[in-house]
Amino acid sequence: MKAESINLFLDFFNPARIFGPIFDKELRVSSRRKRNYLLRSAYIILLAVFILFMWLSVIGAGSKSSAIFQASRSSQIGKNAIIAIVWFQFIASQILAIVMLSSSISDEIRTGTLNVLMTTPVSSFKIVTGKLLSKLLQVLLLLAMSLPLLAIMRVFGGIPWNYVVFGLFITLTSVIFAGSLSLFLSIFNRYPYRVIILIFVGYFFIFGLLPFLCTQLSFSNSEVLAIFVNVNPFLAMVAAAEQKPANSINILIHCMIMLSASAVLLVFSIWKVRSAAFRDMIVRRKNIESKVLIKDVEDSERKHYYEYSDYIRKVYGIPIIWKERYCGNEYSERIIRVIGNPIVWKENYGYFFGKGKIDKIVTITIYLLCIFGIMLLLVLRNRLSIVMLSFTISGLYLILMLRLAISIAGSIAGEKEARTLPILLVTPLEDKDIILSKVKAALMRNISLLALYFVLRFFIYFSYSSQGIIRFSQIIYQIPISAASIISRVLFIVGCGAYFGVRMKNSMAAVIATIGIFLVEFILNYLFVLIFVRLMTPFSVAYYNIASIFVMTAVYTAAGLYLLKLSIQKLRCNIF
Amino acid sequence: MIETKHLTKVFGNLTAVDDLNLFIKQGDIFGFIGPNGAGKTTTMRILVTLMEPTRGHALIDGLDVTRNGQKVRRIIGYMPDFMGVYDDLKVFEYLEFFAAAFGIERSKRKSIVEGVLELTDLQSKKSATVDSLSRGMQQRLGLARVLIHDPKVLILDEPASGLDPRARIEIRELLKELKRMGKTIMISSHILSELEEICDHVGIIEHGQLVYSGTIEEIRPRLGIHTKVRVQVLDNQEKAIEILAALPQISQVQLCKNYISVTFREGENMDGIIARTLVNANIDVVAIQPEQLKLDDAFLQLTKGIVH
Ligand SMILES: Nc1ncnc2c1ncn2[C@@H]1O[C@H](COP(=O)(O)OP(=O)(O)O)[C@@H](O)[C@H]1O
Ligand SMILES: [Mg+2]
Repeated sequence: MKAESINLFLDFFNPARIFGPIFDKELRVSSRRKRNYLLRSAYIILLAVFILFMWLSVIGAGSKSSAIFQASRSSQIGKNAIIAIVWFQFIASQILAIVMLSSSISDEIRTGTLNVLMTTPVSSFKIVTGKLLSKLLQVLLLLAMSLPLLAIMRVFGGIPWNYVVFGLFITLTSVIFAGSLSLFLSIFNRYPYRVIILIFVGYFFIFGLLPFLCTQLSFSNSEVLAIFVNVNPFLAMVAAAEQKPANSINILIHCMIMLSASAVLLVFSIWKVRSAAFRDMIVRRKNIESKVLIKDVEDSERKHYYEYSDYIRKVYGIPIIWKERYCGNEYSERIIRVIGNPIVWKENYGYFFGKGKIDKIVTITIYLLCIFGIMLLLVLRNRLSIVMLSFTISGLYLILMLRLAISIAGSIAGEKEARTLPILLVTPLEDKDIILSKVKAALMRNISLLALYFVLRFFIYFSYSSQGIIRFSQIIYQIPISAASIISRVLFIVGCGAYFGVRMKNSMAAVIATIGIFLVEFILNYLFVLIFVRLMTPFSVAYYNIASIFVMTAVYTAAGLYLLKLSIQKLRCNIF
Repeated sequence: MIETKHLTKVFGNLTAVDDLNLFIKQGDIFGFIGPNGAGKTTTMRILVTLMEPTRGHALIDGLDVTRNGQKVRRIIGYMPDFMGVYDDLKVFEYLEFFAAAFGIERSKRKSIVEGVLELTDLQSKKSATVDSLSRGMQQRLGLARVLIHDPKVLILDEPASGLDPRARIEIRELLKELKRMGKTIMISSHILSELEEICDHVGIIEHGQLVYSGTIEEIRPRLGIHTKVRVQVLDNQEKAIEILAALPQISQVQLCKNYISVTFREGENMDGIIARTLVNANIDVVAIQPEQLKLDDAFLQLTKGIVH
């Protein structure tokens, strides 16, 4: 009797009962993967190493200074470290949530399991919440595991605890929002990469460029910012660091707004998920069977529809341009001949020849907006906020690197998933050609963003010099140095992408791994600078700056090239 | 043309291909038959240079596949069991892509692609996207792709699986056409009767070992297939049964719905004797026909015998 009631009681709280079988399944699958445990351990170890270094740098300074100086220095370092960790977690957990959920519904549609689920009594609510919560739980687990580490930071003293708490709150709500958004978009997008890129570009515009331009144009920055804090997690994080009492209310409002926005997205997802399952069935049937169906359909109206259903394309953009391009002659008859290297041609096919238009439009818009922004800045030169500008440029950098990672890792592992790699490997194309062509194609697709990034970076140097922060003569050597450093990073991310694309069977895993390395690189970078500062203390700041960039450029270049070489060697190893 | 010597492939503690010796003559169609998991796909992957054998060699046109991978790739056409397509490309573009991958000059590609499209009867689908094709058409497109560089040897892994009867027949006709063009074809299937009509030789594989190899004609008597005959008589069924049962060559006579099922003894195959005996006894024979060839049953018999 008693055992029974306990069982009933336990069953009541059984997550499988509340969130449905999807939740249960996802958790089971993820707990079976060794990879997940590895990832978590790596993450914690990395954070621990980071804190250890911080600690060592405090002790190291202690030998030649007074106790008071040491304490204040320690608390300063502790504060910086906390800010760095909270920000890192904030960015990393959002990226993870977006990436993990970007294929959540489209995968189920692609494999046909969504249709099967729809025929069972599982409700749309349970499908959506099950997917969302199971993935978010993994992200939250990472966050939770880092809490003890944050507690250890107490040894530094002077830690702003309410900053940590607010930071975690903001992180939590933004993760939920990012995850919901990603899930929502994955209902409509067959390709997870599109979802990821779409979200990043959207974030870049709405959370980066928009407030940036608004503050530049308005006369009172603080008022505009206060409004943005409510709806912008990034600015909310900045506000949390300021520790003003007024901010804490704003932050709470911000969290509520983010949560309600997530709820709205989820309601939409629940509403749309069922029709998405069926829509896909129709799309798949459309081309194959429409012609057969005609025979059965007497109604001439419908006959007309079916007969031309292949050719119906939505008008977008300027209608005349649209018409010129697609309605002239027979668009559907248009065949694009293979030019030059076939793999480069194939990789860029969608990008340069009509498909993947969203991608292209987005790139062009970023381009135009940034150029517009630069012109605006030139006009508003003396009120230029360099911090905001760097913020925007960091966003661009993130998008650029993510796109590169996705392009390469996705295109190589994607061929395994689509089962086209074996066919490619029995052609006389050399392994080297295959990998390098894919790399080349990915670079071609991102060259415009890369160029833009270069331009903005150099623009920053010039505006630094115009504001007297650095001397003009410094620009002359800063530019080639930073160009080399960017190129080495591109090489590194390309190498990582190729390597994980070759080693992993699943393109999502390859992309996540590449992005993971990219994030780790952030931390390593920080560590590296710390080590360097310690080694080079006798020299002047300018020296160790240049020296550290120089060494890092060399390290990234070497690592990138080595990974590329490895991926060429291993291309045939893991294809089945 | 295709030859394997003591070919062995081990995955962990599973021997997928076990000391396999095959020999396929130039111009032959070789049916490679075995139940799921028998090691057909693994053998073919080794032959097409996608996997390295654990032991043994495989030769194609005298070239060792592990050492001369690049040369072998130019003379073989391989169609995998689950074939992916680049779903955003159009049929023509897809084929031209592979033509380019095989290093065919740009000026020649168009006519080559048109040629294989005609052979596989896909001209009308030239500008359809690849993923809009039906399964049967995709399979034909796969064959078109395989032919693009005019290979001497075709290695096709279950090209007919998952197809409806009409598409199967289309594929079969296509294969006959290719044989006429002088190609050596190795084709795998888990259904024996599917290959019966087109193959010169068959090899039956189970648990990585070759259970049987030879021509289809040789396989029948060996399996005791041809020894059942259906006899239909106008009347006097009882008498007919009596007479037939008395014959020493016949082991069993059974009355089924409207015919008599006659089973010959092992190794005997003489339909003639039945007609002669019955006519002599003044019984009107309507029809004598060998009972439906149950190749697949026989295949089951043959493969069930070996349990690991
Ligand atoms: N890459 C692999 N790793 C481990 N085992 C494999 C691999 N490929 C095939 N096998 C195993 O080898 C055996 C033979 O498989 P396969 O050649 O695909 O059979 P068939 O094509 O005849 O159905 C199966 O038991 C299969 O599980
Ligand atoms: Mg197989």
